[in-house]
Amino acid sequence: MTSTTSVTYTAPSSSSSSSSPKMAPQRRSPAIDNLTISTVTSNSSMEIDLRRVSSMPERGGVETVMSNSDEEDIIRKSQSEGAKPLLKLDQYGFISNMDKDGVVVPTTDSQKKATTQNGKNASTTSVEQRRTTKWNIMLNSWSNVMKRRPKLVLKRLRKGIPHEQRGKVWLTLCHVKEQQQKNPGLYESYVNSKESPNKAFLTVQETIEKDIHRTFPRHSLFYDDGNDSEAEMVNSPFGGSLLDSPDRYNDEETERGIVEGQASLKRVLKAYSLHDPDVGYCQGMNFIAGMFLTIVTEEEAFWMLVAIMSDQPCYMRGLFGEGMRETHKVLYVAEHLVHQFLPRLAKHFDKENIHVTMYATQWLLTQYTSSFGFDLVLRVWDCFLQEGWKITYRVMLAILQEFQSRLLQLSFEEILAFMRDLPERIEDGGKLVTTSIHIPLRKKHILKLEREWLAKQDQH
Amino acid sequence: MGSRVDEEYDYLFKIVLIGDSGVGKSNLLSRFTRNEFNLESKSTIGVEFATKSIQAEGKTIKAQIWDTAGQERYRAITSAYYRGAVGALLVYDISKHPTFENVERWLKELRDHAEANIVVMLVGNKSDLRHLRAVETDEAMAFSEQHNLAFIETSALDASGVDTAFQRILTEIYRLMSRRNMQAEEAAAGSSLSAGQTISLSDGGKKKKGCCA
Repeated sequence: MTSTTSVTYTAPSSSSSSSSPKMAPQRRSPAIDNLTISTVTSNSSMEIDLRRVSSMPERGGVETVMSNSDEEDIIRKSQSEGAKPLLKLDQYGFISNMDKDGVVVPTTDSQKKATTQNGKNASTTSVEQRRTTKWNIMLNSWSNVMKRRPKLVLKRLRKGIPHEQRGKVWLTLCHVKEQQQKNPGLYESYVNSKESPNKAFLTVQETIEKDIHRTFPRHSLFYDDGNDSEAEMVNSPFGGSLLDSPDRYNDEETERGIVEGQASLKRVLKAYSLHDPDVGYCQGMNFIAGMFLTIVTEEEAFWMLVAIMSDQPCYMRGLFGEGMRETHKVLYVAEHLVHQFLPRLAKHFDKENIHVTMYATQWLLTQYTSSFGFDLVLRVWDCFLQEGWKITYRVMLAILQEFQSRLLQLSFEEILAFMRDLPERIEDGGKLVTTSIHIPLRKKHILKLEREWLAKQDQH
Repeated sequence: MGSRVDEEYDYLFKIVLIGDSGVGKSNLLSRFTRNEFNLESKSTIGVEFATKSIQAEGKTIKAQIWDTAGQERYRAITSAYYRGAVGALLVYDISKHPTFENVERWLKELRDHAEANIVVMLVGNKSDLRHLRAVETDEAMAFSEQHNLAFIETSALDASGVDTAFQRILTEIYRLMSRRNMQAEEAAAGSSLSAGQTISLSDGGKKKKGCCA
């Protein structure tokens, strides 16, 4: 039996909509006003929990429990609603105690223990610590390192960025600070824009609206327990946006019936649609922007979206624009790479009339965000932001390779059913990304296929 | 996928689910094929697929159903899937009138990309949202008569009408096909089969190998 210390923070009694001139607080540190300390006992012999408990007055008390174990657990509880079960979160902020119908099921203490303890051994911890130190050093002399040792940077990106530094590194890779400095107030002006609502604009906003509730509903940032009529502020360490003074962008009509994370997502997508009216909004972008919001603040998520849409090496706007022209290109490349690298499987797919569009469209179009676990997704993005599409294709090939022996035995319908559940079959997404790096795919392979596709377009 | 014993079937019909984004196509599919409804379903990117077999007039009919992304620009990708489809469920949301107004555009889409004799059923989904109804049943009924479409209202949420919708369209396709087959046979008996009369429905008897345990 170890006793663990629990720190209770109580927010001020004013509601979150009061416009106290809050400075944008530091990311991942909830606003703290009063605190009390109490002691909690735990059966875990492994670790000392540092528990953070925040209670929001309008929610009657929201409890967040955080442990320093391998699978960081955040548990949120609404005390006033009595019977409401605790939300148990994984290290990326997804609710792990939710059944397939989206109902949060109570966690028992034993379950809690099972996930909070199984601590990492000392060596993993020290590896991570070393990695964190290395990244800190790199970040401190970024432009220098990028200029002189780009291969080292790439190598480290491919190993995965330590999660606490991920936001910072991504923002650096996407030149977000520079963009913000060059365009002060631009994001805010899009958000507050009340331009004459023409039909095209309204159609875009309606489409966005439809997708807001359909983006990561199992993530604590976007989870809507269905009984809140006003913006809910979740004191979760996930999602910088929530801590980026939520009052800032709340205008009157905003966010009735949607939670704060959803409201942020809506604003980011609206802002992007105004920034790039030719693309506007295309389904799939919601997953990418939503994923960004779990890592960086709202305005940063917007600028990241701008960067990955219109800058190399990602350059995704061609996929999402009217006609979705480059989606065809990407699928063409993907199809041929499967033939090139997994000929047996490709032959089997051909025989069964399985075409790449049937299973890989959403993988590629959303860079895995729409259906894969974040252990895989974030590792893909660590690389994608620096090296572009090579990682995307590599991971596709690695996934197919992983399940090849199984897929070879299945028929048309079975293959498609298998593909539908495939994301859940991946046990270790990070390992899969690591494996994918060794696939001998070169940039020239991709370029050759892209040129081929382009030539075919010209013929038509 | 759980273990699914592969059934034999007499006919295999390809059906597409089309209609505006957010009208509930994916949930209609999951309600029909798996008896599931997902309140937190995510937007469909590209196409998704499921199958189910039903009995109609003593025959086993297997439906191969393609669910498509609803946003207009996705038609560039999804319209390829209309090819070979013998039926289409054209879905709108009874609580959102614009999704009904767009039905005409979807019909045009079918005319442009699907087989000429595709059977189309208009489906007013979300009938459980009575208090939010924006499209009256009469209005939709009149429209469907005018355009020679079958019509039904469904709720993927409470399951009402869902099985009936699929049952009806599949039965209708079967009848139509039998009639055409018969006409073709008669024609063949009299003279040679006239060109352009081929029936694009794949015939039955095809058995699938193995099962996914």
